[in-house]
Amino acid sequence: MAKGDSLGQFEQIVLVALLRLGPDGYGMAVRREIEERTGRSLSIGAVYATLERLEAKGYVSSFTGEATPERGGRAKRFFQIESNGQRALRDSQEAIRRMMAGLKIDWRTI
Amino acid sequence: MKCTGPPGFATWLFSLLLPRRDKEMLLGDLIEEHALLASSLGLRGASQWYRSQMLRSIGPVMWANIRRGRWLKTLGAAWIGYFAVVLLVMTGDIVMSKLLSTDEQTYSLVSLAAGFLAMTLGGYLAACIRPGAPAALALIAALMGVASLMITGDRAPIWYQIALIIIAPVAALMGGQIRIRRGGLRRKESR
Repeated sequence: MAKGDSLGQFEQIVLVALLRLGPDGYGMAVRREIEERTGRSLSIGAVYATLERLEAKGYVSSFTGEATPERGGRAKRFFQIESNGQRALRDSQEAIRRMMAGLKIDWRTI
Repeated sequence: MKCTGPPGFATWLFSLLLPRRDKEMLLGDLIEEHALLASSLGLRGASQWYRSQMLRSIGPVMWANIRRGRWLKTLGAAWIGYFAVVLLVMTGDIVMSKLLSTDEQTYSLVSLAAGFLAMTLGGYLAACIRPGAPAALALIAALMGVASLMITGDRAPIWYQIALIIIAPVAALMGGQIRIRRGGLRRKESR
């Protein structure tokens, strides 16, 4: 894995959220998914900044949906994970798994 | 008439920070969630959540703006805008001190209005050079305002210095928005 391909922890979390959401992945849904699963309070700005960074790296792509009245006539931007993103996520997870292999830690004492 | 939507002024202020491409999706998401939360938390709780989301989003959004516009050039454009403002304010001060012989409070008010105009022009100029620069200029203006309050706190009335810290960033962002809107209108006319 090249150095530029490494993913930060939050980037990994956002990519997993996109995988979970499938075709319904837009900013607020990603924020809700992460908040519900991790209990971490997030700002929508941080989610979009990360999605944009991932898009610039070619790990996700986006398209604009329909404008709806409940959004004040504003359109949604949907994001989906690309194969590059899936690969980067798999490599990051694999790196952690390899580093942890053979370590004997009793997590309950931490 | 009872207001049922999200806080309008906060939305307007926040939208000044957002580039056009982000405005639709980000504000749309917040408005949609506000409506959802209003049914469970009530309007007050939903509006509180909405304001806190906007406040917490300012940092990441501004940072993303700076990154998107290749930050060194953006900061350079912001500093050019800032120096233009300093030049305008200094010139305005010399002119006002010769023309106006009013009390300190009136002088401060006129000076505040002139500062607002100068910063709007600075934001406009910065946006002409780099579209993301007004956000950086707003940050510089706020930081300079706080630094000036801490260093020369007693040289000007405190209300004046606090007002300057608040209105200078708003003026810089407004100048940027005017430039972006004018650019958009010109594109429409040329089609």
